[in-house]
Amino acid sequence: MQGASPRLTGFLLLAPALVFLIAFYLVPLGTMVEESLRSAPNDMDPRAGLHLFQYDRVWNSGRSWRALERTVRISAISTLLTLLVAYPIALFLFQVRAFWRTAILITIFVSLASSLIVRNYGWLVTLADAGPVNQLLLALGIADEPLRMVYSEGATIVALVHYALPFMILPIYGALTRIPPSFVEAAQSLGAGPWRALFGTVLPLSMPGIFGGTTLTFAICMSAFVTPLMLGSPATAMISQVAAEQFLVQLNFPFGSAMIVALTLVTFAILLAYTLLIRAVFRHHA
Amino acid sequence: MARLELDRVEVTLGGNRILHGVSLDVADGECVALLGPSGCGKTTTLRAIAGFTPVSAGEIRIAGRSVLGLPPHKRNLGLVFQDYALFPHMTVAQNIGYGLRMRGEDRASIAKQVAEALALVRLSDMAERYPARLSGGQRQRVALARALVIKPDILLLDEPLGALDRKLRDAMQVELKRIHREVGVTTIIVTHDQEEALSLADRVAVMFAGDIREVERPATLYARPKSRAVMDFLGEANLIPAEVTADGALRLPGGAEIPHGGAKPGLVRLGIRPEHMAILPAPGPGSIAACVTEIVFKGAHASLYAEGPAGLALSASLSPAALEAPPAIGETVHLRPDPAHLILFEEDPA
Repeated sequence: MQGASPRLTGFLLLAPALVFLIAFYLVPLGTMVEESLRSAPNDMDPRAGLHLFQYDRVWNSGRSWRALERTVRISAISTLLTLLVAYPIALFLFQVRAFWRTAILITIFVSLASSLIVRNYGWLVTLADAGPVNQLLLALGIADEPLRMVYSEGATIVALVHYALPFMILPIYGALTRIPPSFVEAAQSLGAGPWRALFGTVLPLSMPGIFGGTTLTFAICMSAFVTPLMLGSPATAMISQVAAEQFLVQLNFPFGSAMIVALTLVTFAILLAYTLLIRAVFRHHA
Repeated sequence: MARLELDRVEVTLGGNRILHGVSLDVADGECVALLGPSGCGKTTTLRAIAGFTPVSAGEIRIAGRSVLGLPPHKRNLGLVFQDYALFPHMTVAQNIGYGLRMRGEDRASIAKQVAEALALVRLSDMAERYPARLSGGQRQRVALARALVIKPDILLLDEPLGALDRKLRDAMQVELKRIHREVGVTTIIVTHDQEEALSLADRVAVMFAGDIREVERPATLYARPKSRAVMDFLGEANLIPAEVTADGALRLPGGAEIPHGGAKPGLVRLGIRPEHMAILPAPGPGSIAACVTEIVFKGAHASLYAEGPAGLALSASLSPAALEAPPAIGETVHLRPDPAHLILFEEDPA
């Protein structure tokens, strides 16, 4: 690359990714936005031209609005639960001997590599009326009769948490490894017991990892489709499912597109607000 | 404030013996530096005192009581880490108050003590700053204030000046001495920088390979080290092989002899600092002929390096006056060790 300016070199290095993003992300997204601004399939409606009619429907139709609301709720709960489950695992990963660390990391990567459908099916079996969880509850006398756990919001959340775990564990683990051990030791030398040292220093200092993990997890949950389809019911449908129904069953592309664009905007808005909040609270870091 | 005793402390980590029975007695209010090359075990000793490294044998006592059974947070020690370890999410005042909060003191008392600590390190106007917005020297002072405000029995400093640039280091040396004088806390400084050790400590403990070789006042340690290794490690030193003859004289390389009483006949090593080597233009009694290899200007003085008989490396200090007309590289000079400052070491138990 002799003679080429650093700027040109940078651009050329970015070019493949840019071409890919434009061709397979921006163009379809643009098409979808355009579609969402039409009033009816194939513009057979006499009210031609572009307008916000479909967004009005998303806003005012009970089903799509409730689905959107439910999607945000399920995603928020799942993100919080994922954080609660992932944090101790990341801490354990951070403190354990190299052999166990490698073993756990491999397990995480294997679970990432296995099919989502297979994993969801696993939850269907596990949580089924005659599944192992119910058998355990019956055997322990906690429940008198099998509990109906599958095809519910709860089952969807459990499977989403499971799916999102690696996306939460890895950023937090990464943030933990960047905390110098002297911080914990400083807290201890100043009189903080192990738990207080953990909550007073490690937790706030691992905030970048928590932020990255929760952002990823929330985005993943917001766009979840297969998991709520398999473990939920029509009554607990998330917005992707409702949109897919418009695309695949009703063949109402504009309405479906409007739902997806609305989902994207809502996700973006929530994550933006979250980022600004975190920035304001932790503005003194680094 | 308290006396600190290390009694044959051994530390074994992962099958390796890091400390081979370190013993050290630090008086109440004394400042002792642990000095040694990297890997000598000085940091391990500090961490053993702090409770971060398990001790496999021996005893550590603070104010006469064993602390081996106590976890780090119950030892009441003030630690200043090499990277300062200031909590980035807390202000200077919150950082300094952390230890007091852990001790459950009330707000008013914490505020008062934090203000005093800030005044001690002269940072009163920085209380509400975050560490990210402090300079290296300021961070160091905050770390010091945070460690001192809890009124620790022992203050432990890990390479306290290592991260500072030269000019700041000199200023902080003076500052540390002032603070130590004002507070009077028993202090252990771990450092690989001999200037830091010699200038800050009341006594310096030189460590090699997991053992304290010598503990002495800085001036004595520099002028009269008991072992060749310490002589060699501290400052610049000439270590000249010589022989004590039957009639009690020292025969130097090249054949010159210096009268010397008291030593057993046999091979010895002479230790002599460069500043006690006279540079003569012509052979004199007890001088060694050497060929000048390099002259290095060092500010207050200059060093002359020369090669004596059989490739023996020698060095001598050139005074500013002598530097006006220094010997040329390749010229033969005659170096005469001042008999009054000669130290005899037995040959080779390093």
